[in-house]
Order: sequence, then C-alpha cells, then structure tokens
Amino acid sequence: MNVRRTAVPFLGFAALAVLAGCEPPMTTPRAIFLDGAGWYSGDGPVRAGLRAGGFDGAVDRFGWQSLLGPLHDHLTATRSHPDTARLADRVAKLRAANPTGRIVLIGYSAGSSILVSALEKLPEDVQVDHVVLLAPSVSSRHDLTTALRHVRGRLYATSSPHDGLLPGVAAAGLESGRPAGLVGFRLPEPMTRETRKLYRKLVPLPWRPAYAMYGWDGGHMSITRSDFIRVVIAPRISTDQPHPLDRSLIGLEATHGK
Amino acid sequence: MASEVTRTAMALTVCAAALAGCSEQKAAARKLEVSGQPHLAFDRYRGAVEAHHNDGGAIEGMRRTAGPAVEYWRGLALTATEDGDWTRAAKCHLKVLQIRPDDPRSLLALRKLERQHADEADAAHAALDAGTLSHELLAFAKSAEPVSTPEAPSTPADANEALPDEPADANAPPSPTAPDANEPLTVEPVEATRPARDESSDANEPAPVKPAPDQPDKPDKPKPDKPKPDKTPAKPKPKPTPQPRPTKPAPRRPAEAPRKPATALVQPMEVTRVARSGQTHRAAGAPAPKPSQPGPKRVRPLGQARPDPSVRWDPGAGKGDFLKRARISHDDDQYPEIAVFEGGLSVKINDTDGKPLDADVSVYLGGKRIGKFRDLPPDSAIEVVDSAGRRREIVLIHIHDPDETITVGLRDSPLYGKPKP
Repeated sequence: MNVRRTAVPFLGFAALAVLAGCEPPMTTPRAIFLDGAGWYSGDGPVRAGLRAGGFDGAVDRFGWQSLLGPLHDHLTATRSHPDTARLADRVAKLRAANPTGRIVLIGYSAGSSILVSALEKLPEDVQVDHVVLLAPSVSSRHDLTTALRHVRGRLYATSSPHDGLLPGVAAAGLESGRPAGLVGFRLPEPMTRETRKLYRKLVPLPWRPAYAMYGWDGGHMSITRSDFIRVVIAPRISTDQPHPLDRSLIGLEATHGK
Repeated sequence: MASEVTRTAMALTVCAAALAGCSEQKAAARKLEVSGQPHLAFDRYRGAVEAHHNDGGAIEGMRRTAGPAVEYWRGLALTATEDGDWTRAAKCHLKVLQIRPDDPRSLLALRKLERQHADEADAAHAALDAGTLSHELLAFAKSAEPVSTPEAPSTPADANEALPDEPADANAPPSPTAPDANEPLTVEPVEATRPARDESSDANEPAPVKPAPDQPDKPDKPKPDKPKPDKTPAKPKPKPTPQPRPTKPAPRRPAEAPRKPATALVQPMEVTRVARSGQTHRAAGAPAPKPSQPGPKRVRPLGQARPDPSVRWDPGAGKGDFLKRARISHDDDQYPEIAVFEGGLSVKINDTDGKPLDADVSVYLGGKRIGKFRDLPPDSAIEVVDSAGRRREIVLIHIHDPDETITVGLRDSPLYGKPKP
C-alpha cells in the first residue's frame, strides 16, 4: 500500500515531466537543424559552431529519419513525408509565439529536402528569417519560388564539385535534375517578375579553397564541421545585413550572363 | 585493348602532371613563406588546394599563412584608407574576408564603406564579381614590394646579424653635415615585407562619420601647414614604392622644429639616407665597413615567423607602467650601452641628436638584431615580440643629448594585451 502511495504521484510527476519535455520551448532566437539521411548526426558540431560563431539562440534538432537506413530516408525525403507537415506546424507555432523573433532553419543533405517541403507547407503569412541548406540533395531544378515566399531574409545553399556522395545518388525523392549540393540551384523557367524578386533571396555558397582551412574540404560530410559553421554560416544568420562576399543567384546570373 | 592502355597511360600522365604542378605550387608557396611573404604564399597554397581540394599539406600551409596574410591585407587597407583610396581599401578588406570570412573589423569596415562610399565599394565588388580582385591586389602588392638597398638585408636571415658582427658604423659618430630634416626616418627592421600596422580598436575604420568640411574624403591627411618631407625638391631620390602605414601619422610636438613626419612609421627596408647619398656616417679616414659576405642563409623554421618591430609615437607613452626601466648611454661611462630586458630583448643606443631631440637605437632578440631605428623622438614605442611570443613595447622615455643618454622601458603591448594562457 505504501509503495502504491509513493509510486502513483511519482509516476504522475514523471509523466508530466515527459510531456512537458516533449513540448519544445517556444523562445527565439532559435535555429532548427535537420540532419541528413541515415544515422549520421551532425547536430553536435553545427550547434557548437553556431554558438562559437555568436548565434545567441537555442539550436534544436528536428528528427525526421526512420531507422531503415540512409537510402530509404533519401528516397522518401519528399513533399509527402509526414514530418514535413510536422515541421511546418512547429515553425508556424514558433512564429505565432514570437512574431518578431529570429527563426533560422538549417537542413543538411536530405534534411534540406524535408526543410524545403516544410517551407512550402507553411501558412501564407508565416516566414522564417534565414534558411541554410548544407550540401542539399534537393534537385538543382527544384522551383524554390513557394519556399522563398516564406523566407524573410536569405536562403543560403552550399555546393561543391568535390562532394563525393551526391554524384552517386539521384536527387532526394527521385526528383529530376542533379542534386543542388553538387552544382547549385538553377533559376526556374520561365521567370516572372515575382520569381525574380524572390530568387534575389537565394544566395549560393559554393565551395572555396579557403573553406578547407575551416574543415570543409568540399566533401559531403565535412560541411558540418564546427569551424566552418562558426566562420561561414554563423555570421550570416546572426544578422540581417548581407555578407559583403555574397551575391544572390540573380545577381550572379546578371554579372556572368549565365 | 591498345586504346585502353593508351587511355590509361594518358590518364596517369595527366594525374602525374597535375600532381607535379601541385607540388611545384606548394614548393613555391613554401619559398615565399620562408622569405617572409605570407600573403603571396597564402595565394599559392590556395591555388594548390583549388587543384587538390584535400591536399593536407597545402591546407596546413594556408592555415599557417592566413593570419599574417590577413594582417598584410589589412595593413594595405589601412594605407588605402589613409590615402582616401576607398576602392582599394574595399578591395583589401574583401581580400581579408576571402581568407577569414568572419573577420569582424573588415566586415565592419566594408559595411561602413558601403554606406559612406557606395560607388567605390561597388567598384571593389565589381572586381570581386569579375574574379579579378586577387589579380589586381597581387599586382598592387607586387608594386609595393620594398626597394632593396645596400644596407637593407635581402632576407630575414641576412638581417639577423649577431650582436658582435654588427657593422662598425652603428656606433660611429654622425656625419658632420646636419641631417636633412626633411628626410624620412629610417628604420631597418628585418623580415620587413609586411606593412607596419596599428591595431588599435578604431584602426580599421575606413572613414569617420563626420569628415572635415574642407577635406571630406581624406580626414586623416596631414594638415597643410606641416611640411611634407617626401616632396622635398632639393634632394631627388628614388621614389619609394607605396608602403602600407599605420592609420595615424605621428603627431608633432608643437614647440619643436619641423620634424620628419614619418616619425611613428615603420617604412620597412626603406631607402636609407646612407644608401641614397652614397656616404656613410663613418668619420673621414675611417676604414670602410666590410661588405656583408654572402654566406649560407639562415632560415627561421616555419611557423616561427615573428611580426616586424614597428614604431608608433604616443604622447603619453613614457608615463605608463613598465616591467623594467633602464638608462643606457653612448658617452656616459656610468651607464651601460645596452639594456637587457626579459624575454631575450635588449636595446642598444647608437646615437642621439639635440635638434630635433631624437635617438637612434637597435633592438636585439636573443643576440640577433631585429631592428635598427633612427631619429626616434621621446615617447616612441617600438612594438616587438619577445622570445616567448609575447607582444611587448620598448618605450623611449627620455633622451639627454649632451651625454647621449636615454631611458627606455619595457612593458606589455597595450595594443594587443596579454597573451591568452
């Protein structure tokens, strides 16, 4: 009897604590990180890099992977993935709780496909501040117009010709086109005035030799090194001002006439 | 089958050629690094990494040279800012960011430039977009290479003369002719290919918010009532190539005769008075100094490169707290000629002048001369790095010309603070 008297309240408190723990906090600034397909997790270095780089908010990891392995996750990372709606819901609630707080979404590899799909599912009036796609396996031909409507600041997308993994796989969700993490995003056709305006938010971050000093040697896995995140990503998402080295895809196309 | 063999052989040849090219680039980079040109070495290493993205040696080389290269480009940015050349300043800051994308000072400086000098900043961005930024800046840096002189050492090793081997003219009496007041101060630091710099907190600011009304774009220019010695018509001299300078030119003491304006500036390996005139300070009849023999070059190991000693003039420099003070004299026998400080640093007095009041000193590190400074006024602060890597300042506190005695003090560099443990 005594045991039951002690155990019932204890279990009750434990259940409450678990439920409270399950409800993610709603404070900003906040970065939400989506890992790539499979079991590899890069959230530790990303979190460490963001903190070291001066990002003063919390960094959450949004789990979306199954336990069925990287190939399964990569192939199912499409718009119909159930976690895209869950992420969109989470972002919408976070924005409702913090209308002006900084919200940053960071997707790595196939996680970037989930991220882009979640952006496309956001309610019309909901925007995040910045988006970072690290070695995205989203197709380079994916039309980002809808997703960019939900980005207030900029959408950064890295790419590297030295990525050793992406050349061997199709784009996430078997979408046509090479992965953007390999060749960068392409402008959609035809371009309307609105599309052009929206694509000004898309800032390509192609691999540069200097990045090798900070751990990203152009490879697929090394992009989540904390030094690279600290030096290259954190300064870009911690402020609304554009980085002096950055050019939007539209600006680059205009300069190089591609 | 034959075609397959041919194809394989061709592929192997291409790979071998690429590898040879890469190692050649690395060797060139290493050479530049050893010869004290980290900014050029960095670009070579970067080229090697571009060719082979996971070349560990080249990446390590980039890491090694990144810091000095950043300081070099920042120094040029400061010079350009002083000169009111906003486009070049923006280009140099962009170059810094290419090496260190989160460099806060260059980020701040560029954002200010974009606000205050949008056209010039756009021109720099255009060079970046066109991919000509590095090329333009390297061409400029090449043109800014210091002029080698008979006195100036050609390599760091040449200049690291041991104390006993110092040329005899270092202590020789000054030339009977009064030194030309319009001549720039001469400083002969070793390893002098990087610009001297002033890394005070506001040193990197491209422009003040409220420029002077008469010179809206060039607020740091010397005032017109002060003489500009570099433009003295009486003594034609080889035009020194542009050298990076610290942000603030040396202020002059009002009660004195017109001083040489570059008092606080280090002009690395600048053409010296001796070299220009073809005369030495040696008294008439004295034997000429032996020309330096080209011996085996002593090369400092990689990773141990030290920044050049640099001089600034600060009116309050002599009143601070010092770790140690010492009085040294050239003529008064009761004082030694050399002050020995901790960290392997020592200072030797070479000469003093009464009008204007200044002194010539040599600074040694571990018995090797690392800099020879001429015509330093009181309150000059020579920034050096001691044998433990700590940044220190040797301050010229007091000069007593009649018996050629000076007081010098050693302290931690206030510009850098104490090193992290």
